[in-house]
Amino acid sequence: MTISPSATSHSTPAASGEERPQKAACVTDELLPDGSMVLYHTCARRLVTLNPTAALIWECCDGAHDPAAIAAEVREVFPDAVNVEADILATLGTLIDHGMIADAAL
Amino acid sequence: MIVSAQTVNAPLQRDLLGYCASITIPDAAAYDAAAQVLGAFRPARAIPVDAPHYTLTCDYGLWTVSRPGTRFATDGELTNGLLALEWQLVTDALAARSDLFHLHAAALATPDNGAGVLIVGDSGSGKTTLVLALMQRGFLPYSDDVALLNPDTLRLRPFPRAFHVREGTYALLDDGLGAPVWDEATMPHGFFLPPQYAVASAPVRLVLFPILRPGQPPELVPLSPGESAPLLLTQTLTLTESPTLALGTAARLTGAADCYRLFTGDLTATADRVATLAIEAATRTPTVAP
Repeated sequence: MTISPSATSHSTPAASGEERPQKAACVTDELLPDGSMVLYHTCARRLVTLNPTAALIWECCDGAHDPAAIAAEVREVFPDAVNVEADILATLGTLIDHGMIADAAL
Repeated sequence: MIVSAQTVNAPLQRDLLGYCASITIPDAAAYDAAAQVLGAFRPARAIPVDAPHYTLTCDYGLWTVSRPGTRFATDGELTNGLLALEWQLVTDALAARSDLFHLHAAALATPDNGAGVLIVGDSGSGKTTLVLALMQRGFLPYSDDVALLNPDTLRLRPFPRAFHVREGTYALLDDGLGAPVWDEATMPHGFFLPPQYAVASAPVRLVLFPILRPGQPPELVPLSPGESAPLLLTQTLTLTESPTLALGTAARLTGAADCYRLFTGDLTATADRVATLAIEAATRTPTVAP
């Protein structure tokens, strides 16, 4: 799964697997017709694009899903997905780096 | 005893999308030039008493654009003063129309007015040049620099204004485009008023993101919504002013219109290719209704 503008993998300690990530308050999102998604951080004026898998992970950042629960959701929607846990942690790390996930959730 | 007398022109009064402004320009030559540059804007018939008042003045060889309490620009060249005046008027008018989706883009209607075409890109990406070439193929321009969309219908809203023309683009103007209005004796250098604008709204069916590639064949690369939406959103001030409106409009636009990265090469070949593509797009029903 990819996230633009940054497509690099991250291993942020905060995304280590124990937390229940939650969207930051000042982020606006919009689902696109191809299943991808754009996020806009209104405070930092930062734009991020998510592919459909990353968009699903983002949707699960509701403060109720921990990474294991997110992985279950991803497997249900994308049964052929591989390296799901690692990809989720990388995606969460990138979202954290871009300020899209609330600090309070970490 | 009268020791000096000066004829002061009545302020120019213009209506930009409902934003009515008066402009005082004491210098007669500058007044005439501004009247030409602002000629595409509607004259304001009944201007409110509290309408914004702009001035373009020349002191010690410097042209200054200002409003009471605010100086916007100062430059030694009248042309740059006119550019600053027109830009400030448009900027302020757009700020007053937060109900519209603004794009830094050129926009045209196909010859049958069946579809709108957006050419989205930074300054210097070739928007004006491609617009002029498409006008030679029967397309009608909305604008060469700022496109306005109704976010509900995704239709382009007419907003006629003068084109800003670079030196290299002048040759196109002499090639059958605008002889009736192209008169350097009255139109300040650097500006161009098209002989005709698109006056009816049209739904956007084609969005192009040009990259200059001189001397090479043109190339069109289809873009997915996930690729085109961020390109749109980086070219709109609506994103910072009204993020929800901007994201929603961009999302629906990428579903309703075909989006391409356009590598512009030879101008004739590029314009022919785009014209064909736009006319095809005009006849298709969008896959996602606005």
